[in-house]
Amino acid sequence: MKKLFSSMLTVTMLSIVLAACSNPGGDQSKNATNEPQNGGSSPKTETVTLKFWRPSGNDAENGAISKLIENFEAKNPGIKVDLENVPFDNYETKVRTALAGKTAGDIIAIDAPTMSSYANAGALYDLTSFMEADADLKDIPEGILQSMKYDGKYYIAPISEANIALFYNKKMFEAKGIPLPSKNVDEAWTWDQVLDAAKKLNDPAKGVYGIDPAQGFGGGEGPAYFKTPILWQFGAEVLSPDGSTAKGYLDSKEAKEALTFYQSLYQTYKVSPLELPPDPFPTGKVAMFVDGIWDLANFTTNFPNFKLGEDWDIAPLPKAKRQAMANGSWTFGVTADSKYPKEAWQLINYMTGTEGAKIYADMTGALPVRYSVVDQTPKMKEYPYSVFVGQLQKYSMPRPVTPAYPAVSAAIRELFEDVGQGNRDVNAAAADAVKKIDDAIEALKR
Amino acid sequence: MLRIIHFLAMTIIAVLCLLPIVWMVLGSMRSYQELFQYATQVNLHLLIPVKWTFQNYIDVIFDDQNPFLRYVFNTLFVASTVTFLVLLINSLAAFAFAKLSFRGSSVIFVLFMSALIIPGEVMLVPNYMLVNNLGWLNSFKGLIIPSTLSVFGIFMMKQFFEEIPTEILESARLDGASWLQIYRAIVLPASVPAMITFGIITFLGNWDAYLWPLVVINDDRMQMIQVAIANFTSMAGTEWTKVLAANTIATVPILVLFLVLQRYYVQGITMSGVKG
Repeated sequence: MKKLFSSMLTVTMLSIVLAACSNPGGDQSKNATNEPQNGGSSPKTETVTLKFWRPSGNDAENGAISKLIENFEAKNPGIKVDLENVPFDNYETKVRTALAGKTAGDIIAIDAPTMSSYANAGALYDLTSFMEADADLKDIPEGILQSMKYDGKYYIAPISEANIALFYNKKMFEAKGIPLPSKNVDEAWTWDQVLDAAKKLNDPAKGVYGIDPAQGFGGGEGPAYFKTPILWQFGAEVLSPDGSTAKGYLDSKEAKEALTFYQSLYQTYKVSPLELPPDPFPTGKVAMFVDGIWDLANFTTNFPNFKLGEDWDIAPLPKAKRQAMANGSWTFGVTADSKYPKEAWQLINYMTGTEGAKIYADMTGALPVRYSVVDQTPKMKEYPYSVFVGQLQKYSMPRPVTPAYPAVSAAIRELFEDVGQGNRDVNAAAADAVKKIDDAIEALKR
Repeated sequence: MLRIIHFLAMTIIAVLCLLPIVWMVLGSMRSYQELFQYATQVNLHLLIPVKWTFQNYIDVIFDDQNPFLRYVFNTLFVASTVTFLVLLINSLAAFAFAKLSFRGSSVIFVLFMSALIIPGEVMLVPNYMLVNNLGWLNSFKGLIIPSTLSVFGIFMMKQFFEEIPTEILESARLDGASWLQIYRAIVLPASVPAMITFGIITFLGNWDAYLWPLVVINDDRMQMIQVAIANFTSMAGTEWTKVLAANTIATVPILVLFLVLQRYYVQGITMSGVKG
């Protein structure tokens, strides 16, 4: 708890420092005027070294990135790429500290929803002209293009997407004689159906819970990624369309309905575990588990005896009034202080273009962003990938786009903790969350 | 009767303290699949592996991309150097505060002490920018030199040095010894337990350092242990068995150090606590 607090304190402090260090517009224009000079004065034979920072992934992801860099260096002899894999948990701490000292990598990986906060602080290089010239933007679904833009300008390019669905333990369903949910993307179970099944599957004596609706109560961006969709599914929004306030949205009737339902899973019906053990699904501690596509590979390698199709299966994410889940995954951006924005863009364009993204998708099993890559990857049209791809293209939406996003994310995490874990009154908890978000939006205006 | 109760209470506390370490060591010898399989109910396999394996150690040590033993060596080098410099510099400072009378000594000491209330997180960015301007980023210098001042250490050693009778030092002065000679011949030999205590605390602190190495070091090959262990966590989850194996390896040097110096450590804590 102390560690959590101190790391939260760090990130908050750093956000303030980053905001204070920025001089809006100044960095961008300086770079824009410097760039042609750099290009003109430095002879082509000189080797450019690009620093590339990203949070460390699993072995497959790290291997895929290394492979992409190798290919890129082979094609561009004048450019060398210096990759650093930073521990995932404290990646942003490191990036924000380095940005304040103007020593961050030329290319940094960015979780899509945090982009506005970086862009607003003037920390990112405007990639719009590069992208419109050679990124083939028509190949990217509209919903995802929205998540790459802040204030009408493109700052980031995504290499892959992610998506979440309902994982269920087939053996447990069969033992209780419960009909299995459909694998068709358009036939998602309603939360009421899920609750019915959860009540039958719940078996406290054996330590089995019915459902974990949104990955328990963790830290970081995970809670916002998994829990915001519950609000959307019940018809609520987090912010007003212009992003100016959460009042009337996060505390709307629909939002309270969503929160009350979420609370009832933990407190009234007790079908959800207040404390989630590690890997609860493959070890048989929860019967239904909302989880991401990345765990397909994890379960295959780490739990070879737990087989897809025999022991477990995947169904579309449950709905209430509508189907919804968040898009926006890891992307790449160029820092405003980079000396080589053009070369940095070349690397990003290779990695996120059709060729690079295809290699990445093949090696990691992540969801491709580009239509062209999906077309070239037959397995994406087959179960279980079809569920994730279908949801991504039809029902996914970006998390609120606002420079106050770090505060929004924290407020949503605390809101769901308060009502689910703390059994707090839904009205009071929602009012608190609205105030936190509106205060943060207000503070940014000053 | 009282002895038995004491003995029982101590045993229970010892078992409670050891349990996580035993779980870590035994857990590092299981496959990932079974690590949490038995974690929610009390049974034999909660601790004892069903199938023993050393694969985790092999994976951790023989990883080409992240050579763990190299990180152990890096950390050993940095932590030992820092410990040596910290002991030298801060004990001299403490000696000056305790025994030398110079103008403004108490004001300077209060200024030093006030630094204790500033949390490390607040100083992260200023320190980072300073180290950057000095050109020490991504080097062991950047890890070692900013760590050589320990305000807590100065405070602790000052308390200890004040116990040494001033009369002895004064008679040495009369016999013509310089302050540095007095420090080496009289003060230092008298303060071995305190120095060892302080040394262990410093070494442990640097062995466990995470945030500062995380931001200062960019080259993977120069990384410290704790950052390397944190690298086993990614968005796709944590490779717990590797974490346990790496932690077991990382615990060994500390355990050896502590076993050898244990006697002095306890002595040092009790002595620095006694007043008058």
